[in-house]
Amino acid sequence: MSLGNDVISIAHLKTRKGDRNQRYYNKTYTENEIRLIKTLNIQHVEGFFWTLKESAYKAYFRVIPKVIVLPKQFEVLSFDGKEATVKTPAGLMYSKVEFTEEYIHAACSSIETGLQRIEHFVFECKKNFHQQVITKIASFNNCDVDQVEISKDENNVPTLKLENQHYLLSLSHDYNWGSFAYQKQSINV
Amino acid sequence: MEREEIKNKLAEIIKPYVQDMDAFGNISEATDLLQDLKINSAHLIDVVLDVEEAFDIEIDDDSVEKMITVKDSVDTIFASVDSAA
Repeated sequence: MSLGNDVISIAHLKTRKGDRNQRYYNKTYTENEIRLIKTLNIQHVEGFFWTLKESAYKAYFRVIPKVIVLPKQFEVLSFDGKEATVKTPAGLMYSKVEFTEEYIHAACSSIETGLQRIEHFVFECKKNFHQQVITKIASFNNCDVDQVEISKDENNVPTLKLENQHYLLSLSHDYNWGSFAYQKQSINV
Repeated sequence: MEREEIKNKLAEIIKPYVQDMDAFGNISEATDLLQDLKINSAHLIDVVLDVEEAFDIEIDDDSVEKMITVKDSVDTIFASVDSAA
């Protein structure tokens, strides 16, 4: 199983006008996605699609650490405002989205029922992102911060070490918002 | 247009998106746009759009996929400028 998560600040969503917006659309979304976007009456729909694509990319990159620049490679196949399916070069990702007036967050799993086995959290974060993640995970698990460790492999993919057990971890930070997701079940390393 | 000229112009384009200015100060052809310069992936397509406007070229999807390092990007732009000339 793989997992990913992504948060974006709504206040910093970039707007593009006219021809530039159309060119951005053409490089970012597939024709199917553009059709799907037009059927959805959702404010900041592009932000939702971006978080879905980015979280799917993180889950994909954990399995196949190949840098892919083109967002079209991660295609949102379905989205009802809360849940989505995203096609990646490594297969489907199953996603769920939560949002407030200030942020949009998506978490995804490569297994359809995998989201039930993922803990995720969004928090306001202006600085010390990693330390805040460690503090919150320690708090959730009623353990000391010394028992929580975040390591990254040569591809910058993070793993959580919690009370000597290893867990898949995904991190995201955008302006004043941070988020993380980790698998409840430990992995062998 | 010479490669060095393209590289300098590319550096000007990407500068507003760079989050690691120390890495930008040591920019070379091996510099990775995402990993080294910490350009937010959400801004990569904007970099491509800026490049298209600055060089009056169109970069197709296959070429965008290859723009990972400064060298990759310069190669892509060089080829596009060359074929447009």
